[in-house]
Amino acid sequence: MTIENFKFFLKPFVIEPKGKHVLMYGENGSGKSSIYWAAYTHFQSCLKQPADAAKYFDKDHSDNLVNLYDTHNSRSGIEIEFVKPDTLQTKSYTDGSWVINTKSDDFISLSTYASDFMNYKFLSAIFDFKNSRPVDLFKIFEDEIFPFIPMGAQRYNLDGTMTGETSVEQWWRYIEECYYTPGVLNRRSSGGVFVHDDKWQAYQNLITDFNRKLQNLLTDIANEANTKLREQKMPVSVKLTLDKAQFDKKMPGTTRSYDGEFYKPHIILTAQLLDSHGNPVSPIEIKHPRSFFNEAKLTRMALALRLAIFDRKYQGDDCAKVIFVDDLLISLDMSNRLMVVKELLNYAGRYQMFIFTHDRTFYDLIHDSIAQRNMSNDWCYYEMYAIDEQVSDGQVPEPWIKVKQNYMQQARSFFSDYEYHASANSLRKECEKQLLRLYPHNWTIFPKADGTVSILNLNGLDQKLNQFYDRFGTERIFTPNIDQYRSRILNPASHNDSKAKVFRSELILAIDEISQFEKINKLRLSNEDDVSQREFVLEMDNVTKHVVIEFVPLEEWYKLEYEGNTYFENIEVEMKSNFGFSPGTDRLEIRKLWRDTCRFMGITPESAFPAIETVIRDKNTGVLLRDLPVV
Amino acid sequence: MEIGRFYFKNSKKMADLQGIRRNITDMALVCTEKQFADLYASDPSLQDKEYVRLDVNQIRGVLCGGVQKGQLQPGSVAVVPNTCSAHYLSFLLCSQPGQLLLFGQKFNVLAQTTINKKTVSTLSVFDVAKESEEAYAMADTLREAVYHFHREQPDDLNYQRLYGLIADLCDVMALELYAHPLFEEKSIFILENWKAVLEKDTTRDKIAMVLSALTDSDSRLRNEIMKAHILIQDVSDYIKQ
Repeated sequence: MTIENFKFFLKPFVIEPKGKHVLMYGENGSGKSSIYWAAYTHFQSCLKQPADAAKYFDKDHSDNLVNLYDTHNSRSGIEIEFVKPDTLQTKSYTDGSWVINTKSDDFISLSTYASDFMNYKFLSAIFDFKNSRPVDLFKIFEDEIFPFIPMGAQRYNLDGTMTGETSVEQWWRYIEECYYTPGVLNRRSSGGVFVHDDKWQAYQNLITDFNRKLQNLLTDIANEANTKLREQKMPVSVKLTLDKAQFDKKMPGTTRSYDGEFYKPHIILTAQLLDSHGNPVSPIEIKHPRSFFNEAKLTRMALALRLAIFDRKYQGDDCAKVIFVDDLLISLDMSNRLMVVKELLNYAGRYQMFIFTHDRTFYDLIHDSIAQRNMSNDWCYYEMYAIDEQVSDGQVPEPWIKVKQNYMQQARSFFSDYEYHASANSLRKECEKQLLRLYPHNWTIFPKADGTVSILNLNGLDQKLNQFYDRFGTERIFTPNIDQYRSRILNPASHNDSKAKVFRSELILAIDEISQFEKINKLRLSNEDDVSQREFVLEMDNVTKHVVIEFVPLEEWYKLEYEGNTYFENIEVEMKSNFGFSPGTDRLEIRKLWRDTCRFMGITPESAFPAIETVIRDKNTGVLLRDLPVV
Repeated sequence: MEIGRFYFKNSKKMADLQGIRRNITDMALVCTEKQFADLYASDPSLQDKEYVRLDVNQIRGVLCGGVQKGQLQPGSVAVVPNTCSAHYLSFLLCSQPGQLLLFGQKFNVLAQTTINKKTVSTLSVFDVAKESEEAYAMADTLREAVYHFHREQPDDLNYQRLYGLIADLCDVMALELYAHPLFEEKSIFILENWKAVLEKDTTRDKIAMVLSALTDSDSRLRNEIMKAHILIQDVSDYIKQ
């Protein structure tokens, strides 16, 4: 994306994520929100009339978004290049003072309806109402949602002709304009009463269609939000009711008198508590959710609604699907932020994401969540700062963007620049980061004398590597020589021992080997809530023997995936019941339980044992360990 | 430089879809109340035959007709099919293009209109392959069934939504029939995806299956309908022809 003489950017500014997701930290005033608004303006331009789209780049127009320091009437605009991932074919579209070609084909139209722009306003809106007032979301829908939601029908003019305009915003703007623009609807000369002609009827039809279509859309959104709330086991449902737009209502007590007024619609949010079967506890709706639910529950409801709106968008394969997020969570506390980040990142598989924030803690939170999902390579990380006008060359504030590399990228960059000590140092940090990701959490810390805990460094972590491989039964296949690298390359360099030699050839091997860690996918099969709760069954059968052992995990349970192979973690379990075979103790490691059972069944040699993932299943669902969904 | 544009293009299927445009009287008998009563009295086989009833007073946005057997209610025009199913004709007459024609191209500026045998007899319809006709007829059957629930409980937002979805499916499929060059140009395929839904081997309730196909975000049918809403603009010239 190239942004030129638009909002914060005077000189052409380029951001080039090459199809990856973007996570950007930016100081306030550094220009990150200008990127968000540039994308917004570009995507929206295809829904606007040419003059309306052009006004943002026209310095003489009151709505212009041209850079304030432009003194030469330079051209102003935004250019976005899209790349098709599988064929690398590209398409470029410009929205600017010299050309607007976003309507040249259907690509941007479809992309606009498939993409979304999220900021803090929608989530905050849910909290903004006084306890005593109904939650009317019309204004926030009007500002944030309508522009990117198709109505499901074309808007028509008052002469009945179709316009090709399909967004809810285009319908709503026109409905407002017709009423508030003098002369559009005909009035009698005396008294200004509206004439009930074809135009009047067409306007009534337009409002009726708007009400009906919008209510259907709102019902759809509420249904989708309720599905999400059910998935989160939230005992609550939401409802969006349209208090309809109306025009020229018949006056009460009369047969032929009309009031000539226009009544704006309202979107009223109400909620209902549900019992354990998902039925309403009471038929009475909660009209003031703010006074009834705590912040965490309100956040979940707001987020479910916002994501439901997003899920209602076009999802064809023939366009770009992008989510732009700008400071979405500034009003939320940390526990709610974690929940929102988790939900958001679930979309990263299907959408390209641009997440902007001025909050370093939030940036780190997302960064860590991405790493935990082993998705770091799919993301570009940027930091943006503003160079003050007193310091910059042209006496104009300028953006300064820094591509933030991860440790492995840094190790490779330093290596290319012949800075081997620095490369080894980054490699050590990468190695520590990966081992912290892969190990069970309690292996990575040690208690200190003052009662606090510290995180182990590479020396401490590396000592547990054999234990880790043994736990997953991988027999050191990933990183066979890491001990040598630690003692010869990683430690000396990190201690800044200038006499220690780091040899280029060894460093190449170490980079190659340590980069294998990135390829190991760590996937959780059962979580904290399942510990001592979720029941599994180990069952084996032959002609003479039948064994059924029920057990619960005493730890979280993970599996590793590496180059097409899967390795299941050897966790401690507690036996709850047994039939046909007693292992002699209630608490034991799952692999020992499996081996002992195989031996009891008379299976020899060990290589003939059935795979552990094919004889253990979830007791409730019957799903084999091999096929268990990741949590 | 074409990104994903022709991912589902299949010109043979589109040719099947096109059908032959005919006058309605080539495919059905249009009768006034009296003519139908006479016919009903003289031809006993008519008692078990399904036909389309259209209310003389057509109200905009309301389903003013449907398929039925037996005697014709007062204030109606009957359309008795002879080469196609009644539900297929009902599909055409009660969907957006049919309504535009019945309202004499003034659908958006009138609250209601009055029709008669003459109005209906001038309409043009499409003679399509039997397989397609059945798919269209199924959509109409569902529309009528859901409309019944919606009419019984007009304040139930979920019935209103369900009716809206199925009526929308019918409208867009009928538009695809009338304005097929436009749909072909934009690579939009509604009928083919609707057929795929109907052909699904499923034990699920039909309405639930259709609802899922019309609302699930990854449903191809749902996205094709949405694409039609986004990209298909003025179709009135195609409907007039």
